[in-house]
Parts: sequence; C-alpha cells; structure tokens
Amino acid sequence: MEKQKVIVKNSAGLHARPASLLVKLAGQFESDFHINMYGYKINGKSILGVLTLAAEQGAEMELELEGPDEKDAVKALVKLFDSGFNENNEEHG
Amino acid sequence: MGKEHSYDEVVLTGKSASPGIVLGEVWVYNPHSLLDSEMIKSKGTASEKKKLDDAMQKVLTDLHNMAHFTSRKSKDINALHIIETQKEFVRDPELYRKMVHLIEKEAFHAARAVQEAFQSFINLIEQNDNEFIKSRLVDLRDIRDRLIRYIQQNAMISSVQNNAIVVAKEFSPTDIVMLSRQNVQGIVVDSGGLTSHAAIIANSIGVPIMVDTKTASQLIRNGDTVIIDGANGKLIVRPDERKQQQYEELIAQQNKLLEEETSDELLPSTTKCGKEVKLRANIEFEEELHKIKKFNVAGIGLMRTESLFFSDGNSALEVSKQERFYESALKHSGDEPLTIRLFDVGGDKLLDEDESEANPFLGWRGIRILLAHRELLRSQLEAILKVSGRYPRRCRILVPMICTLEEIKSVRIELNNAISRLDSLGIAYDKSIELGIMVEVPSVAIQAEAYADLVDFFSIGTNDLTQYTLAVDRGNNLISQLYQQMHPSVWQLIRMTAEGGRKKGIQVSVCGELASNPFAALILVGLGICDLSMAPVFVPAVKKIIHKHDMQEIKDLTDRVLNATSMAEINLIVKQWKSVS
Repeated sequence: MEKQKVIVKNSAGLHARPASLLVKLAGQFESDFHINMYGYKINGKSILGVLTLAAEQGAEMELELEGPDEKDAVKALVKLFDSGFNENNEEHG
Repeated sequence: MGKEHSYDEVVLTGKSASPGIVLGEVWVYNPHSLLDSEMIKSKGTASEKKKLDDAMQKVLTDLHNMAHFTSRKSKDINALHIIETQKEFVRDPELYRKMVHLIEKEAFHAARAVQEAFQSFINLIEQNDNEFIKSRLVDLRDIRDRLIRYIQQNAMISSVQNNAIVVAKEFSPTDIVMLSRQNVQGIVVDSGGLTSHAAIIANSIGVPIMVDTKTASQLIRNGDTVIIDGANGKLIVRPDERKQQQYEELIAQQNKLLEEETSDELLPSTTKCGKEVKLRANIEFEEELHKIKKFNVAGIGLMRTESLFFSDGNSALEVSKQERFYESALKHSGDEPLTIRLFDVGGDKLLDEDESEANPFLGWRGIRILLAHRELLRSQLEAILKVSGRYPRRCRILVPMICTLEEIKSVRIELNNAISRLDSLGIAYDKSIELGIMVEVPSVAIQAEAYADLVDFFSIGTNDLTQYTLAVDRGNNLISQLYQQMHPSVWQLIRMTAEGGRKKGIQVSVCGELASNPFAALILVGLGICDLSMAPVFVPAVKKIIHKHDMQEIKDLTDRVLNATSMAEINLIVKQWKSVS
C-alpha cells in the first residue's frame, strides 16, 4: 500500500473540473484509490465522492493506493496535485 | 385512488400544420409518471440492470456527440469541461454500485434506483458550503433526468395503445420517431410552434400534431376521448355525444376525399401543357422511406442526416453506419438521384440547452460547425463517396448554411482530399459526384452567380431564407405573424437565385416548406424551378394543382407575384387565384 499526503494548491479548490481530471487520471490505474480527509474515506475514482469532500485551497488530504501499479499511480496523482490542476492562474468555471 | 369519471367537455386552442381531423383515445406520455406511482419493486433484476446499462450507454453517446459540436473557442471551453464532468458522473463507480445495489438487493426498478441513488448524493452535496461545487448540482440533476428519460422512454412508448392520440408536455425528436412506429393517430403537445423540430418531424413522418395547447397535458387524462380539429386549430377534450357524431361524419368525408386524392397520384407530374416538374421527398428517417412509393414521389430531393446523431449507442461518425443509412435511401428511390445534406446541427436542432447562445440562428450551426470539427465533415464525405461508388451518378452532396465563398472552397478542398484518400486505397467512388449548396442566407442569393461558378447545384431552403431575410426567429411565437415565406422580398431572392443558376447553367431546386404550398409551387415553376422537394404527404396536392395549369397561366401569375410589394397584395393574388381555380 502507498500513502502520500498532498495539499490542494489551486485557488478554487477541488471543484468540478479538477475533480473530473483527478478521477479520470485515477481511472487509468488498476490500483484501488482512496482519499482520507477529516476522518472521511472516499473512493478516489468517484467524482461524487471527491466533490462531497469540498476540499478548498490549502486542504490537506492523504492519498491511499493499493494494487499492482500503486507506485506509478501515486506518482502521477501527486504530480497533478502539485501542478494545481493546471489552473492556478486561470479563472475557474 | 379510484378512477375518476364524468368530466365536462373542454375546448383548447392550438396550432396544427395539417387541416385534418383525428378522433381517438388519449394516452398521456409522461416519462416521470412511473416514478410517482406505487410500483417500486421490479419483476426481474437482470432486465432492470440491463435497462440501466443501456441508458448509461446512450447518455454517454449523447455527451460524446455533444462534445463534437461544442466550439473549442475560449469561452466555450467551459461547456466542454461541463460535458467532461457529466461523463464522469455517468461513469462514477460509487453511484453505479448504489444503483445496482438498489436494483439487485432492494428490487427497485431501474428508474427508481436512479432517482434514489442520485438523490442520496445530491443531499450530500447540498449540505456543502462550497458554492462552486453546489453550482454543479444542475449538471448532476441533468444527468439523472437523462438516464430516467431513456429508461422510461422505451417502457412508456412500447405500452402505447394502437391508434392512440398521445398527449405530453413536450416531446424530443426521438420520442416522436419511436411513437410513429407504434401507429399513433395523433400527437398533442403543450408547448412549441409549428416550426419546432418536433412538429417538423411529426409532419414529415405524417403523424398529425397539434402544438401550443398550453395546458393539454394537465387537463387530459388517460383514456379520455379527444378530437384534433386541425383546420380550426381546436382540440376538443371529452366531446359530448352530439359533437362526437358531428366529427365522425366529418372524418368520413375527409377519408373519402383522401381516397380521391390518392387516385390522382397516378397523374403525370407535369403542367397541363406537358412541362415536367420533379416532385421529390424530404426525408429524415428510415421509417419515412416507404412513403416515396406510397405517394409516388420522384426520389429524395433532401435527405437530412441529423438523425444519425440520435442515440442508438453508435457514434454518428462511424462511416459504415452512415453508409447503411444512405444505401437504404438509394434502394427506396428507384433510379432517381439522392441529395444528401451534410450534418446541419445547431440553431434549434439537437444541441443541448446548456450550450445556448444568445442568437443560435446567427451563430454556431451548419457548415460553421463542420469546418471547425473536420472529423465530422471528413467522415461524412468519405461515407457518401464510398456509397456513390456502388451507386454511380445517383448521389449528390448538399452543404448547409453556406454564407461565404470561402466556406464552399474549403468544402471543395476537403472533398478533393477525401477523393485522393480513396484513390490511394483503391476504393471506388463516383468521379462526377455533384457538390451543391443550400441557398438559405440572403448573401448567397444576392451573389448567386458567383456561387454558381463554384458549385454544381443550388437548393433553396425557404424556411431559413425567410427568417434571415425578414429577421424573424421562426420559433418565436411573439412575432410569428411576421414570418411570411411568401413575402415579396423572399420571392425576389428566389428569383435572383433561379436567374443566377440559369445563367451559369446549374440546376436549381427548392426544398423548403414553401414548395409544399400549391400556390407557391406554381410560382416556383413560373420562376423556372422545376425540381421541388417536400414532405411526401404534400406531393399529391401539389401535383394536382400543377397539372391543372399551363405555363402561360403560371407565368402570368408569377409576374403578378413578382410585381407585388406587400404581403397584402400577395394575399389578394392568392385569394383571387383560389376563387377561380
């Protein structure tokens, strides 16, 4: 199992567009993907699960991956969080 | 709740495109009604799960198609993001798990399972403080409604009684096509105008439709008897015995007339003096093809292709799916040519409300979309070329919504590229395939000669030409009285187009509603346009009128129309003509 703490960097938080990028990326990996936050645990491949977290800028969460490609998956997902979902200087929609 | 009886007669007003009378028993179409009913438990969980899976596939296909038509330009990127997010909603594993659980463990039927599962997530998101996230609830609800609609559509439509008159708040184009397969007698809708897409489709399929009844779906119950009186724009609900008898007599007369008319179909399609006029069919769906024979029509003058986008799980871009559609039209139209219009979406057709523009008819539609999404254009050109190889000299390509010369040049380049690709693959095609344009924007009519140098034929679309000339949105009920296809200015543009085509030696035809008006058809013939395409059901009446007049009479009438300067004068000419013929 791979665990990694990340911080939401983009100003609008994990709203619809980043959430859809996140689940789309996660869906490319075979590993199970969960997100732990505020004592909740949600399926990271479920956009509705991600949206119910309502994670805002600065929120901290733990990515938890388990499966054959867990190492690659965690790397890719952390990179997406670090990039601020490619939208830090854009207006969100 | 027991069934209620004995309501009084009610008469509603509405609009009907056909003057006919229909009497029958009502079947109310309400895709959400099963949800309100007490029948929650389903009979077979496997079949319910299949309904859910099918509906999910259809919604995904729709979203996929919608993304194809969405502009990639700056501000519309948001629309694309929304579509992407909606796709993720459909694919959400937790949502799916919940729906399947409800179906398999709680024995819910599919629609109810969708309703419940979505609601549980909607509740969670509503508790959220984050406004950005809450604002996406509208998209989530939209997906829920689409799923339910697809699940219910099949169930509802397959339970329609034969010969019913179907009443609903609104219909989607696919509803109407599916209903037509169930032998319904008539359709009644609360909203919409005569030029709404639903009404146009119902007309072309030949199902009498009454629109704009406002409250019909609320006032009418399943099993009520109703009469659609098209000529008077009346909808009589629960008629008393006397009235019902009256109308039954009228229907008998109407049927007798219809029989006489059908016998006239064997008339040659010429003027009294023997000049041939080709009367062809406008066709949108495969289910209409049998009408070519039934109404003795000279092939297809306008084949619309947007129906390829209606969900059946396959992408419209699939070349082989398109080929099958075109081939089946060719098989039904004897030796006559088949004019295939390239995808004409946008305006009020097909696109979703979420992507609404301030002025859709002046915006993202027709060739503008095709040139921005070349994969659509290329797949269609390839499919038509391939079919043309098997049916040489029969296929023609018609390009919609052209309004600059550059657009047609770009299409010509794409056509040449498609031809080179087929050449390199050694696939046969018709080397002399004709490329023509719709003349539906005044700019093209005004410069008709310049366009005629670049294309092989013109097809005048009078519906759009009228709305663009008179600046009248044909769907707007507030100004519908201004929408006059026989306005003098429209006649002048048609004349210019006909003359431009004649001068440059290219063929000119008309495929708008105007051609189905017998008087207007005469004037078109008088302008030298002897190739008219219309909904097949109108062909017998037009043929009869044309056969009654010789060219001299037609030319005199045409001169009078061309000299008119107002609608009042035109109306007077029509009135006088009617009184003597």
